[in-house]
Amino acid sequence: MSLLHLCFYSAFTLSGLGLAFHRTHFISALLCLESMMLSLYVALSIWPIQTQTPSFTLIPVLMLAFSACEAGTGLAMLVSSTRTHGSDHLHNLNLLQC
Amino acid sequence: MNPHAKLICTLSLITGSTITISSNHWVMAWTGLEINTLAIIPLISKSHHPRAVEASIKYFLVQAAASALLLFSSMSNAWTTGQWDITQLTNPTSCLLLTAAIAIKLGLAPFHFWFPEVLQGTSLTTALLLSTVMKFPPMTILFMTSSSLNPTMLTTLALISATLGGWMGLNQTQTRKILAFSSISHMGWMAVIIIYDPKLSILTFYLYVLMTAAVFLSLNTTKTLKLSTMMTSWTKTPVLNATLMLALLSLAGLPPLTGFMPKWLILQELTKQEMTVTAVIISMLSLLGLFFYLRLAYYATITLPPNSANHMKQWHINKHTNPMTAILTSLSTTLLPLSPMMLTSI
Amino acid sequence: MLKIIIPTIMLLPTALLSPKNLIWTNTTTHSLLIAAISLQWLHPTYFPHKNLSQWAGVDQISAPLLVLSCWLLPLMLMASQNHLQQEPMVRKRIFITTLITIQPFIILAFSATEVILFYISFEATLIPTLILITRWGNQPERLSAGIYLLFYTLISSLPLLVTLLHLHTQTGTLHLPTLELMHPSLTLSWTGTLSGLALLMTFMVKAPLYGLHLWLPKAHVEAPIAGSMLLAALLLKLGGYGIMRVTMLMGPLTSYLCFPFMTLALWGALMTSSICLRQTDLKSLIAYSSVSHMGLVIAASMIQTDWSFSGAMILMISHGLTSSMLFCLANTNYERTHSRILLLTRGLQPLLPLMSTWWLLANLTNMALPPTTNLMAELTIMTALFNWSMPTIILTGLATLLTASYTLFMLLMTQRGTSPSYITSIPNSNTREHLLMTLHILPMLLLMLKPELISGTI
Repeated sequence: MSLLHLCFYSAFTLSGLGLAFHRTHFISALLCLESMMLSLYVALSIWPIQTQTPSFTLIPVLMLAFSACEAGTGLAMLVSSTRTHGSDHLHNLNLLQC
Repeated sequence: MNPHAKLICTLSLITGSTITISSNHWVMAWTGLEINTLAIIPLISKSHHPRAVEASIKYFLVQAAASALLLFSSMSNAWTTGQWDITQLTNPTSCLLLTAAIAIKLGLAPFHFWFPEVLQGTSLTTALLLSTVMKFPPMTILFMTSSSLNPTMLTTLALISATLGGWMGLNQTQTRKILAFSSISHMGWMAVIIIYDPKLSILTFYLYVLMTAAVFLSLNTTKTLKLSTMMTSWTKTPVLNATLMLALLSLAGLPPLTGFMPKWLILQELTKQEMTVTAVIISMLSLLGLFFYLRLAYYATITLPPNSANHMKQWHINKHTNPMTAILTSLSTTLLPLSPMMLTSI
Repeated sequence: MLKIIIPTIMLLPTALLSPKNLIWTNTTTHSLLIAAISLQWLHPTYFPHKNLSQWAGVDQISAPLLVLSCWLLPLMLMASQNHLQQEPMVRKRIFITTLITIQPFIILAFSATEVILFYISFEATLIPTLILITRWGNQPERLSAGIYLLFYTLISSLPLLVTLLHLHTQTGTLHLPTLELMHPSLTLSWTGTLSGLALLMTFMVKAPLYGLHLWLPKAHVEAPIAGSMLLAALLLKLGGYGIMRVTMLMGPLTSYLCFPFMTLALWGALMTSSICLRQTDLKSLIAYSSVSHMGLVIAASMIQTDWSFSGAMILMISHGLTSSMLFCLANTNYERTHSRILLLTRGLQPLLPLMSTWWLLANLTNMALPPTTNLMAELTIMTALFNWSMPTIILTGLATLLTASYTLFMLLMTQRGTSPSYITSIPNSNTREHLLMTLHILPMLLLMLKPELISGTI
């Protein structure tokens, strides 16, 4: 495993772990998701350079567009949760527990 | 909800599912899944109730993380093998990651905790969408990658979800949560067979969709959200409640109803693969589910007192029942004699 | 087969579309006609199977049971007329429909030669029975009775399904006549033993074996009269029939596996008879007496000799008619006094004199008085068991003694003595009830003249 792999694998893993274990604010969860997406973006944009497949260079942009949409939806939900629950604390979301 | 927005959401749902089902490239499959997630979120949170908002947040976080994991697994596979083809997933680590991502998307135990809560926060029709349409794209991905997945891991996941789905549904009083747990245990039945006979798994999924749609639509007609409402809902549509009982027992897999067919075929395939012990265990675990279906059936129609009692009844409104419900219910109870035809056609 | 099954299915539209005042007459007449046609199955042939098709056939073991199940349907319809009198028309129709739905499945189960078809129709009888018990029973305990019925049956029968599928992958067929010729290899290894246990256990629960019988008294006590008749006369016989079919397949394994079952069956016959002596509930007493009789059937069908099979067959048929008749009698008492407690329904002979004749006849057949087929069955079974092992005569002899005593106890408690002062006026017994009893007792009396019709041997 080269240094390059280590970089984006560990970036993805760390932000995934952050999403899984740091559960206080919704905004931090969104940031973790975004950093997962960014590490994926880096990996996807280096892959065509390494393997010399220029037809693939458009894909990372597509991915980035969708992750931006996702982030937008996330922020919209941040707003709606603030309106209904008063804050963006994730532990406020306990109305539906079994 | 604005009809235009609803139209756009529905169309995007169809588009997203179609893209994922028909794609051969991981990025397109991921794109379809993303479109699906983004399209269902307005449908979940359309009532602006705090519960709906909470459900949509939980659904969003789980689905976004799962699809990121899916893209990550395919990306790491591409880095080692240079392939973006869905059927060419050969790297074992990527296979494990993909199984986890799909398990999160499908709500397979031990990644199932979001599913009952999200279903509880939505309306019955959206809950139906969540447990049928939204599970179809992940099922097709699982179907296409089935040759390279790890059998031990999938069998374990399947047994755990059959157990937990049956076990945790036992003490629920909310119909949507009960149906969510029933969905989890049905997912277990599909996951146990996906490696040995992927087509059978898809057939199981179709029949599950048929039966669960019949149950959800019947519940929607009487607006039954919890068991105590169900007890008094027979005054609205007595015949529908009687057929609801049959649909529920069919979901439980009692012969001679449709639900017995997938269980029978799955058990047969498992015994052919020398997995008799697994077959016995998973068939016994389905009895846990039977217990809560039976309770629902009791509430629906069986425990009506022999003579009309003087408890509180719901308003009797001559509401038009959706003809779809009738078709689905009759299909979900009487398809067993057609099983040879279905077997040859899949 | 279709000659009977299609008219049986056509009973459903008859029940749903008959005009209001003719519904009972139409369905009962129609089903009696079917029962009359079904008598042709009893005609013996040279070949082992009659009407053999790809998936069904009638042989000497299934023919008497099939005729019994066709015969019982009109009787069930007649018996439930009274307690449905107060119900609205729609509910009457639904009740009759439920009752009729069971019939094709029972016919299929008794006549199927493909084991999976047998399994499916065996299980398919569960849902209508469940509805019959939990929807039409009277006490709140009917819910737990329904759950007991469903879960006892399913827990024991799912391993059977897996074992059958396993047998299918090993031998390539589940066609009964073929399997009997092939002698499938259930060896003495532990997998073979487990398969054998799984094959037997379903039917042991259904029959029921002592120790696995707890669902039966509950279900009997809670069920309406038609449900009780159905359970006692037909569903228990499915268990006995299944044991006979399955032991034929198991080859050498049965002689090892039979010991625990024999012990439980014979000891259970003794124990349940003694329970009957201390019973306060009339329906529960009759239910326990069925457990005791079915214990003899299980013991006989486990040792697999010609004599024991024919004894088991005769006992199943005659017990089916006798216990069904006893339940009907108990129901006539229940409808008049609204109590099943023996202490409260004493001394009915002065009040219902003709009914007590039926009580006497039913009890005499139940305790196996000499000319009855019950006696022939018990003698055959006892002889077969004695031949198998001498000491069994102690158990079977004691069981016979206890059977006689609890039957006498039941007769004396319900009929003799001074009639209680709190029963001031009860309705007379009517023609429908007498007809019902006659239709139960006539076959028994006629079978005494030609018991080889039901003896199961060719």
